Amino acid sequence: MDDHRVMVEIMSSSLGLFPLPDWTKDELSKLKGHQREGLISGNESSLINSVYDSAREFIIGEQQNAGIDLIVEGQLRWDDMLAHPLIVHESVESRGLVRYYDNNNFYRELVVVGELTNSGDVARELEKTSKLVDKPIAIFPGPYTLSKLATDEYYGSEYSFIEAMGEFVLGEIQQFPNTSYLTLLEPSLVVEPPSSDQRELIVELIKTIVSEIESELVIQTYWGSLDGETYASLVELGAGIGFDFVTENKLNLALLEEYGVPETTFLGVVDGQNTHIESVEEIQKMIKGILETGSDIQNAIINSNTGLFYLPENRFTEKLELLGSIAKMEVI
Amino acid sequence: MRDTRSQFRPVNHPNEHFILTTVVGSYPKPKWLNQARESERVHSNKDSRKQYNEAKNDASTIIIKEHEEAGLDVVVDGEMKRNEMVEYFAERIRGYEFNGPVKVWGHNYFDKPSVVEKVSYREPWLLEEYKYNVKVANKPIKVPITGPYTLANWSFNEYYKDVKELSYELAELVNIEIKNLVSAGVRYIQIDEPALATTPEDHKVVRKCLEKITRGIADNVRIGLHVCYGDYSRIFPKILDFPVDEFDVELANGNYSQLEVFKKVPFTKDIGFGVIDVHDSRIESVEEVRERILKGLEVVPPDRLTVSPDCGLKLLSREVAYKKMVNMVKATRLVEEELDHGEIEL
Repeated sequence: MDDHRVMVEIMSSSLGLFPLPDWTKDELSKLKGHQREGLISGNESSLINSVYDSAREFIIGEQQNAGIDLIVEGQLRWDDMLAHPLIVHESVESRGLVRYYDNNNFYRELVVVGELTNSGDVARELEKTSKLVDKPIAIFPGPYTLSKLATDEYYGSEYSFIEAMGEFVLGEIQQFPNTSYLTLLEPSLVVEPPSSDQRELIVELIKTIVSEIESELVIQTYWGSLDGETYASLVELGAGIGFDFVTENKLNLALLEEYGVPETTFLGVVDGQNTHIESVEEIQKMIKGILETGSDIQNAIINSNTGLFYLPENRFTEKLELLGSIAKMEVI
Repeated sequence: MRDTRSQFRPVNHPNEHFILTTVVGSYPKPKWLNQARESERVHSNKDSRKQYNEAKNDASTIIIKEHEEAGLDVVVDGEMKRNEMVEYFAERIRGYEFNGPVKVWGHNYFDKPSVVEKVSYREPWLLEEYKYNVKVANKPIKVPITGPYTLANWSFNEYYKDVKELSYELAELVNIEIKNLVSAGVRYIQIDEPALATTPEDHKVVRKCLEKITRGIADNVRIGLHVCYGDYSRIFPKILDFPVDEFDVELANGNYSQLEVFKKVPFTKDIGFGVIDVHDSRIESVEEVRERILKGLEVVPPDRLTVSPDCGLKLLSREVAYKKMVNMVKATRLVEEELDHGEIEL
């Protein structure tokens, strides 16, 4: 047996975007209505905010009960999933509804019509979280994904739009309280890979972010795998990487094998989009396979491969429990 | 090509030309129907069940009459007895379970079901609905059914290898259901596949599903396929080989930006041409709808044109939905008249 692998410490987390607890669904529908106009804008009544505050506290308790090591805020206010930080911005207009990637979820179409200054909206959520739990993980959409989810009517070119998103993201996260990790969700990096020009720019933007923040940065990918070049550049910068081993096991393993392991690895091993609850054995087998390929991995954090809002509440809780229980076991 | 259309031409049709008018399916539910449902949910006793059933029948009757009054040639009951387009069917298929609501957008949820074992046919899905409707209707009835690809895609799949395999199994069940409906007298079936045209290769799966669905169905049964919110260039002209008579599309909402897609090769099926925007409560004028129908004639001749709204009307108020239908029928009859008089160049 390889002694090295026994030393690997496995912790558990999730990448946020939780479903609202059922008890808040009716209450919030009543307060906000069912139409686009009632959704989060950043100017909610104190009544609405208090429901979210209770829900946040509840969801943090759920993670603690499940034995999750690294707690997230849960993003319960994010009506538009990843697009949230833009929708609350005064320079962004919301228009119709658009499909959220290739699935049956929709978000308000975002149109950037002015300069993207910083709002501090997510920082305020994290401040509240920090009062409940020590050093949570901060979750935020990455600049490339934001540029793909929004329409530009101000910056003029795709290149400058991505650049503006980079500045926007940096400005927002600089206001965050002290967190353990800072995870930037970047599904678009694998779903709609950037051109080589754009890739250089994105790597440059991430380099700046890494140098400007104290928390360790993680680029969380899902629904596929990064191309080798982007992966190698990000690893070289010292950024942590989150992999989706549920959707794409083979190519993600190939990245570890060919380009080496990042400083920190987040292993998406639990399916965030299916009510099927995996057995402990199948997840352990998957982790074992990953640690065999990435034998240099020092610390691994297991999580769900995607956000968990796709699931009904009962299955969401079970997935958290699964993650919490596996991280406590000896994998090998 | 077989003719499944002329059977729906009303005996007293005023014009020589006949452009079939119909609606896609869903319609705003009367408030009292929702109240009866809520009462059944809360009390769940003999009385509340009886009241809810009565309310559902009453609502079906009223909506069918409303469709007839608007002048439609083929009517539906506005899906008054169905809670939702996936849930309703999943509740009647063995192999599904429900775990609770999931988000679609904002505070809109649906009870997305999970397939946890082999799916099988447990009980008729729409037979009672049809039998009731045909009793109260004076016009021919269309029966919309959610297609297997959408049923598979909008469920959690815990059992099958992939969506494809689940879709094929569900298609066999849809085939059983349609055979039952046809035996009961149904002559117009519409398969709703809003999940089609959202991923690049899905047309292959849907084609095979439709082959399974239509197996052993008599030639005089009209089969339509309704697709909305998709990128039609992904599926056209491939869909011309599908074993259906009519392809029903949403076009008004996108201001006919996808119209050119259908002109690339001759459209050899009937087209169900969306002329009413169901996401806009502004009532289109007769003249405006007439212009839209003329766009349809750029794609197919009049005897292969079906005029309908883009999609179900359920998001509108009843008053607006009704007025939109009235203008749609008026505009269609106007175009027929103009065709009769040779005033429209084809």
